[in-house]
Amino acid sequence: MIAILMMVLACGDDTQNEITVQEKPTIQEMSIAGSPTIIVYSGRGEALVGELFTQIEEELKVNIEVQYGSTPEMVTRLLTEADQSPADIIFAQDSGHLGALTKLGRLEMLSPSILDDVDSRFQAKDGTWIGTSGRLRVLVYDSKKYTVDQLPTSLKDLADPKWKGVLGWAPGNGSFQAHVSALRHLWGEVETKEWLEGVIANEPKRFPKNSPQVKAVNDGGLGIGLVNHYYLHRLDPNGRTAVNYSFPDVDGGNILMLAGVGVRKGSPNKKAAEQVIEYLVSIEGQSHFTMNNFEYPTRPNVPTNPDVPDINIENLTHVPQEHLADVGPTRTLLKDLSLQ
Amino acid sequence: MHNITQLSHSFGATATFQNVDLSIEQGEIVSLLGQSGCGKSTLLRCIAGLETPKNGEITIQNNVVFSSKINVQPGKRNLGLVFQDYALFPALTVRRNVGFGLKRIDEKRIDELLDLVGITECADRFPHQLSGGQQQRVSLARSLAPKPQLLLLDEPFSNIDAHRKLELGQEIRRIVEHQKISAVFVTHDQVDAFSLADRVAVMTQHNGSGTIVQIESPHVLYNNPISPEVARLTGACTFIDGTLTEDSIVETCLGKIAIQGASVSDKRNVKVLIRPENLCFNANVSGNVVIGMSCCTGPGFQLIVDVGPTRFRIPHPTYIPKGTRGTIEVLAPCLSY
Amino acid sequence: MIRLLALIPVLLAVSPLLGLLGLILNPPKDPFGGEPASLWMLLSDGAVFGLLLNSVYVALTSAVMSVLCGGWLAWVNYRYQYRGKRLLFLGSLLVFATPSYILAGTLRVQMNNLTVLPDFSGLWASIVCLTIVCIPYAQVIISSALTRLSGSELEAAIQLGASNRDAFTVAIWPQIKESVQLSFFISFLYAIADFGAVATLNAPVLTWRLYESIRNQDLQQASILGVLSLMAVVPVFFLVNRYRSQPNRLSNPRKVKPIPLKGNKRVLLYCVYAGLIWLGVVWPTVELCSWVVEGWQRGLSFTSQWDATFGSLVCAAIGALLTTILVIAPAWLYVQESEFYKNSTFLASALPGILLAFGLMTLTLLITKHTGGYHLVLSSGVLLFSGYAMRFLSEGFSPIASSMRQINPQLSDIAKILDRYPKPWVKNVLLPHIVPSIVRAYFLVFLACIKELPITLLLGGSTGLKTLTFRTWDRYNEALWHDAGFSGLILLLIAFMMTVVTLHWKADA
Repeated sequence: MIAILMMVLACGDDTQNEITVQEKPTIQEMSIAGSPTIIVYSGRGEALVGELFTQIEEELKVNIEVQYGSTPEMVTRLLTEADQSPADIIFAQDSGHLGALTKLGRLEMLSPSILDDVDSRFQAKDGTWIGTSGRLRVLVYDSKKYTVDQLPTSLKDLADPKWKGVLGWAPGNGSFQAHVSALRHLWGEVETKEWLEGVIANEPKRFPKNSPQVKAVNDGGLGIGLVNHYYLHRLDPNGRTAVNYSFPDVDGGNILMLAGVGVRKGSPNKKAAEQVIEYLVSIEGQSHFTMNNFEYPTRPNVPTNPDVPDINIENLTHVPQEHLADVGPTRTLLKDLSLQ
Repeated sequence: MHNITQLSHSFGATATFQNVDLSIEQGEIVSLLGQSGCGKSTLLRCIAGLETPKNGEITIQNNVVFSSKINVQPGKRNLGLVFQDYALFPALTVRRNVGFGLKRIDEKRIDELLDLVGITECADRFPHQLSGGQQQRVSLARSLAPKPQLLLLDEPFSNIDAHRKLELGQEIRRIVEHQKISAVFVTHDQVDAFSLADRVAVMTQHNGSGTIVQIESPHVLYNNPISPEVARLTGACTFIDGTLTEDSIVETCLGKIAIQGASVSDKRNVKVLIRPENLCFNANVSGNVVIGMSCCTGPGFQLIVDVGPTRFRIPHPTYIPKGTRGTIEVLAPCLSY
Repeated sequence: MIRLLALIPVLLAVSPLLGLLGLILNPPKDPFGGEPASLWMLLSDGAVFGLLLNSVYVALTSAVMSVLCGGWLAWVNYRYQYRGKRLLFLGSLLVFATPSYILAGTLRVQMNNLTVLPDFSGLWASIVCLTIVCIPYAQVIISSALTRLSGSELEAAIQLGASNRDAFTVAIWPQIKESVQLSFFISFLYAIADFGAVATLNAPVLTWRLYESIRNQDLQQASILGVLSLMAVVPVFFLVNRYRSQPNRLSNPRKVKPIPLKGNKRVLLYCVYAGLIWLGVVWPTVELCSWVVEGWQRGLSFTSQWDATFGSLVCAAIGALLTTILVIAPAWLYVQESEFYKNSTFLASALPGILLAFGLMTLTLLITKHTGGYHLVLSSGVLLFSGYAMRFLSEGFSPIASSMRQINPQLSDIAKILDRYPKPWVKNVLLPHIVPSIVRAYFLVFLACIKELPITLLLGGSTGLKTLTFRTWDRYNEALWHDAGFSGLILLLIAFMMTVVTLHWKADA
């Protein structure tokens, strides 16, 4: 299914399909001798990527020091430290911030061989960053309370007063921010603002993060939540009553967002950093994202987690990366509406 | 040898003591006697250098340690100080307490001092393991370690049981003679002052600030107090009003009394100082006074007799029951003011 | 020289305020090109004042309830005799060990399982949690006030035929009134500065929103929230200062003979103790264990916690060392000279941890803008340990100052006369006397550091040291409860052990 997806989307940019497995260096050959310490600023939590970096340390025989924070924090820190920054890699929760860094000229161009590992839609047009995993925006709903046909058919429906009091969201979360950036491009500024105001009028329960939302839906404390798809799969499948839902048509609510990495411009360890990134998008690295985190891979031919349903590509909305990188006005909009 | 000249001290705006003059001879023990709060402890602390006087001069061993230009640190004044509650260093043994004042460890000197005060057997104990008396001896030894010229003691008798006081006085005297130093001690108790001091300096308060009013040997002080206040401080007494009828004779409630050296032309109305030992009670059925109470004082008795508004306490060798009639006789010429 | 050393805590107290000021006066541009919200717009929005009111409301209510409950427990412990008295009292003080975020997290799960109750989050849930957390403070402060009382007045009143209530009002209340007021203010300050519970319960209060603003790099909003936090805390701080000086102790107060507790009061007492110990100590432990067991049963993989345990211990050890050393000079000068040194030390500790961390970060930004070396300062841990020091100076100050106060001043007089002052006196008299209290202070601060959340979150990561606090927080928020339980249990174990060690010392603090 994913293979078809990739074929459909990769029109015109077929170079990666020509590279066969034999030409790629094996993991062992990628080991770096006499390694420096690679410093990663990660906007993704230790819970999600900590193990992966430990794995990389063992496989590649490098030292990796990861510092964790929120994506805005780590990106701002990178910018504040400028040329004195010790960071080699920036690992962002959403591609919008990476795009913002590209705009400010803070990322190195990655080698074509790495970029080729990943679908062309899942990387920067100028090759300054690469997506490591995909996350789908979904609604999570309580199957005890609703059947599928009762659910809204479009994201825009959430502003309808009939959903008053049953909604939940996490507007402080980075994914939400990225989603709003996408909507601003899709629907335009005015409609996006109106939609947000409409949803606010429905008095949604405000969660600080996505996972409490999903738990709340499962426990019966919440009806419908706007989340990323993978949190659901953390819950014990036995007796799980929360279910993910994607909108039935091409819709602003069906968006695949990327988490990704880039190398800081001016990093003295560019080569070593690239090898780490190469691992992240290798089969082993991608398996971590799919099997442990229940996310979607950005590398073609990597199977998704059996528990995770395949994406219905036809209903996905495509938003060009440069629009997602337009983070500033999104922040202003959310601040104006007191959502941040 | 040691001199204090016109010393004054105040805490902020309140004067503690003023215009104090005191001199101490080599080998002498002087007592500062006065009620609580008259400034005697502060005076001692000023001599020690722990408080700064307002003006005056202090000389120790003919070296000026305080004047308007000089203020020598307490550690350099060559003094010793013993506090009322001994202030031993709790974390140090007796030996190290005593040796604390020595710049270099000198076991011989420490042993000497321990022997001097008589606590050699406690040398390796800690202060909390000693009795009060032992602690005081350690305190004394410690103060003597750096060979001071003048020893200051703040209320040394206050925490001592009555039957030990005499012993303590004798020990202090012995140490002072042995070490060839002088000593000043502060006390509020007349008996303690008299038992040890060569001279007693009486300190009283006038208008809120203290001053030394009389410095004499105990015997002279007792018999010639300069004022009624000093008289009260130096022993039991009663004052009665009297009118001079002729030179050295006054008419009082006890009849005619002889007084020392006052002539009719100076003053007619005087106050007469009556010490208990000046009085004698003679039982007499036609007497004009009655015994109100008879208390046992141990060696003898004390008879309480009221004459008008005045209460007299008269010593008597034997018991006389309450209600006995008699007369009061005044034995020696009394002082008058 | 000693004055210089004593001024360091004063500077520490002022530095986050300087950072805040710098931020307000010179707001940074949004690096992503967004327009910074104008100060005026933020203030006139009114939402921020809503946060201030919420913070004050939560703190006030928690403080009142904890003083009532804790004070009553202290009184009953003093006046009455009942089975298991000592054990129950000590057991209830174990609540000191439970970090507020673990308490809130586990309580939330239990309350939500009893689906009849509304969702356990927000302001009312925070009040419940913070009340439980503050009760031990009230117990300890009021208990130690009661032990200083002479029992004679109470017994005289009862002899004369007064009822229990009247006897209390006439004989006891006037003497402990100040301590009750003090414990109220201390609980208030603690509750308003709390981050862990309100964050876990998503309560709309200042500390939590401040953290969210920092996460979003909304520095201007963060600075407004910081200023409002100051407004909530500083006035109360000055009120507390009126009460902190210890009243004159009777050297050997006559103890009251406890009378047996009977009837309804006894039932109530056991219920209250049971509730407190269950909610504050037992349930969090049990719940964390169940998360671990569930994860094990589901075959989930656990992250190794050696690095985090090591990191937590190291951070707490260094933080406590720095704090204890810093506090000695001001404590000495306080005892010798003036209240100024105590006040300035306590001021920093009154500020919420999140505000301290934020202020330190912005101050560093301000300075390194000109000097460079931002990442150096961050990764060295200077900020983290300074943050700990600022927050917990008061914990270390009290035992050391009260020990110093007990030194007989005549000992220094003697040393002066013997010309052996100050050095030999410091070595032979002062140090032996205060070393036990320094050790006490160290352990008290160690316990506080290892439980601490906001400063660790904000300033700890950049040192490269992992902590149990960070692990538990991170895993809990990512719904990886088995891991959160694992690191949380280790943290609780360490905290319980340290609490037991320092329990009887808390009374002096």
